Amino acid sequence: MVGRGEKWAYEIILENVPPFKWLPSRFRVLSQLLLMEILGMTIALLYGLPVRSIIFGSLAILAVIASSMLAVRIAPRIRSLRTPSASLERDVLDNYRVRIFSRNHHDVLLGLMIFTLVTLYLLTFGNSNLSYWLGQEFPSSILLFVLLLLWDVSYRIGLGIWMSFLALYRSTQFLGASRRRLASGYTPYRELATLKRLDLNNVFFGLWPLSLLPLLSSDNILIFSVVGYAWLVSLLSVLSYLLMDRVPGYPPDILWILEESGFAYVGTCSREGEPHVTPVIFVFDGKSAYFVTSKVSMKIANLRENPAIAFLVDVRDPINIMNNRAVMILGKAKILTPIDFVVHLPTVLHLRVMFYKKYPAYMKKYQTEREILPPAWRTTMFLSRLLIRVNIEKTVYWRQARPVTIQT
Amino acid sequence: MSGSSSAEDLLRNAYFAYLCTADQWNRPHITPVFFYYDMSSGNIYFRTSRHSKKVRNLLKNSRVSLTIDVRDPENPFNNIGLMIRGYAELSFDEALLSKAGSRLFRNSILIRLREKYAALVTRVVSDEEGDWADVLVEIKPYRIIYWSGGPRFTILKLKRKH
Repeated sequence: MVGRGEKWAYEIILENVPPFKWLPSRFRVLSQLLLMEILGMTIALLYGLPVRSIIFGSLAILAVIASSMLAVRIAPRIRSLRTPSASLERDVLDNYRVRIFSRNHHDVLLGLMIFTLVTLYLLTFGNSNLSYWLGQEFPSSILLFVLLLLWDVSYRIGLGIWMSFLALYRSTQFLGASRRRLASGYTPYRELATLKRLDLNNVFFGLWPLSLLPLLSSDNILIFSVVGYAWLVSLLSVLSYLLMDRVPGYPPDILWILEESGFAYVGTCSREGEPHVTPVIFVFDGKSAYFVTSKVSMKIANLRENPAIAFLVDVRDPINIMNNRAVMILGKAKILTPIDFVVHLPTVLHLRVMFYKKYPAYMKKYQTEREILPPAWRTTMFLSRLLIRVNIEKTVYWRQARPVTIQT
Repeated sequence: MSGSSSAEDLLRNAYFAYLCTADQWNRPHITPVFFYYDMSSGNIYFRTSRHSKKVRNLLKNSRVSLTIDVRDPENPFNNIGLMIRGYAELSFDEALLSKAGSRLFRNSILIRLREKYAALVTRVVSDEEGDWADVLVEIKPYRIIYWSGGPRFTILKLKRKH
């Protein structure tokens, strides 16, 4: 597939240029740190640079290496994403990979632009920075090392901008594509989670240059650029994350069953291996299923001993029972405590609205006729009832009596 | 007892039972099954494949739980249902062929199963299905809980001698 085999310029250098290519992959970046540091120290000692310069230089090298480590870890993750079964989403993801690992090496182009701009600035209007970093008198050979370091910083800044723009573009397209899913097409939860984690990593790409601020003395133009960069990249990454967060990890078929079906069967098992299954009413918020049950119920007794849970939701076709469809979620149950209620208050309020919307008759009955309800059915939260979240680990879907395991 | 007779009605007439088994790590697993309730023995029967997850679970742990219910999406007081706990016994085809007596019994159960679902669908328990539905599972209940909504809510615990 196009885009999968491609790599960033930096990765290619680490893998092909000696001495890095001779080292095991996890030492490649570290050895670069060591090499730069030794080179910097030698130059500093040779020309008797002030201690301040050595500290500044080391700081810049450290910042560069930290972002390299992240880049080297992120890239294989993007390449190894599994292909979504929804064709539109597959196209978006392929397109994203082709662009991010583009053969034209846009990452270098952007870096080169930034490098040229900063170099020009330092040699003309901003030359007070050089004397601040290196002292009044410095040999021009040191300039070469400073430019090398500057290139390293510029390349990573370029990479950060490039990646965050692409991520936001991808997330926008992805959310749009997910709205047009066909019956069973989707992207598994784990891939969505990986993409979201990449976005959060990108926030780091936005923030690391802030560690260079002490180097910039009081040059307002440089400070403004670095802070602006940090703002831009972290904002784009967070936006991208929020958009990805709205993409459902199930195909429309299953979502429809989980949202529309009124009853679920909750299977639990005691520590001694005695199974137990009962029907419940429930809501599904796009990520987890929630139900409410009595504190004294067998379900709770079992779940406290053994959180493993099976949660089956089905839709019955009154005309032809072979058209019945069912979804079974296998996972772990989390009994929400009063502390969880406080921490997740918006979620809890949202769930309450969902329960009232999905079961208006039930909720009314529970309120107006609670005296005739058995104690196990009364709904005072915490006094007699508990809210339980089903954390999904595996999903099985039956269509026309044939089970299909859904990747999550 | 009125509860016990409506429980029997439910057992005879409901089309779905939700069967819960557990694997060797006590992780539960649920599947809807088509079942037949044999009034004389009080046992429940269904067919499945030897490769199914429930059979693999039952070979390690024969305890099951079963829920059969009628659901009213409008009014919780109209819900009725029962929950059974019991032990499952598996009959694989080959094992049964050698025992003439039990084969006869098995065939009568299979015919009853087919009769019960014939009106709904022919495919489920037809003979072609014999290839994959090669296990007959018998569930012997040791505890039954029955619940029913209004006018007055009742939960009955029907004890059975075993």
